[in-house]
Amino acid sequence: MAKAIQEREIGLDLFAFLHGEVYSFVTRTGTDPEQQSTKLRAMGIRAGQVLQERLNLEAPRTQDEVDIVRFVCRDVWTHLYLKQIDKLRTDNKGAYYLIDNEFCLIKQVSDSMQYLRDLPLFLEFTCGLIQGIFVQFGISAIVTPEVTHPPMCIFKVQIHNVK
Amino acid sequence: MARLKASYSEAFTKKVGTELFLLTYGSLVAQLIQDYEDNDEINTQLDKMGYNIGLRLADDFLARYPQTKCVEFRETADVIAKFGFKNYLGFVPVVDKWNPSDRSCSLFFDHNPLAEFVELPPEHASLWYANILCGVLRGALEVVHLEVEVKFLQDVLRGDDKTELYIRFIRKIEDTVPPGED
Repeated sequence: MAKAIQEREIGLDLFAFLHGEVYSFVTRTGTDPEQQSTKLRAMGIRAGQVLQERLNLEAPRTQDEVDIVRFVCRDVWTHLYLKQIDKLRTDNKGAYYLIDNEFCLIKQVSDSMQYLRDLPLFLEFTCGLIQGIFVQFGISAIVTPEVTHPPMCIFKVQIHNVK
Repeated sequence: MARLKASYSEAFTKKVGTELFLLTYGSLVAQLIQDYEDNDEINTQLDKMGYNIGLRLADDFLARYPQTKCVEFRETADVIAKFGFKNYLGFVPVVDKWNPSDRSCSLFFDHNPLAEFVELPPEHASLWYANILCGVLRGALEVVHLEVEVKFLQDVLRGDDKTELYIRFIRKIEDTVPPGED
């Protein structure tokens, strides 16, 4: 049965609407923006950790941080979004920039500038998801989004330490 | 129906991975369990969210296929299973157990449509894990002026052999357009 599920794909609209409901549930019930973003991120981290546990068998048995980042950009991203990250950059000081030229959730909202203000909160869940995957690899990282030209999204992965 | 079939596949080509969807949903349910202890309240919250999703999904669907018209409720159930489930969730449930007047039926799944390796904690054994689907169908059918009752009757997560989603047609919602407007 697990195999059958791997082969299935989900309509992007349905996923985007579900994500929208998760977002609006948290913003509706949360007390302040900080609490809301913490909660969304925590939900994402939880999902990322579960995902990584599931993917573990295929994952590279490596301690090399660059290999792990590459694995996330290629294999994990394809597993999640059915495409690879378009570009990967690094400052060689522990920061990696995962660039998705057309991030599906941003494409689904709107190109208008008024959404830009809310986008960091909107992307908390996704950032948490990526963070959760790294946590499971034993890498402590903070993931933040940068959106200057939607629907392009840059996920900045700042790695703090390799345990 | 024929025209619908022909153009359907093109518009629904944008997809994401199944696990992304299931894990996002799992994370939502886990959060609701944390926020609300009461199972009925969790079921209600999931149903409400589903309703919002259903309204939007149906709008989306109709914008692409304004010609979709079902004359009988049997046809509606068929479209839900063969187009709705197929294109959004990637599989087709079995539509069965029609009542003699064709006003209610059940969709059968041999797994839980939204769960993969999920186990309900004992204290939440009466939670309908995929309850969001009830809201989705209720919302989507309301857009096409059908009032329905949707509920789960069985769930493999509860130890049943199959998962059963029951749909009952209640009434057709008449357009309430004020006189003089169209």
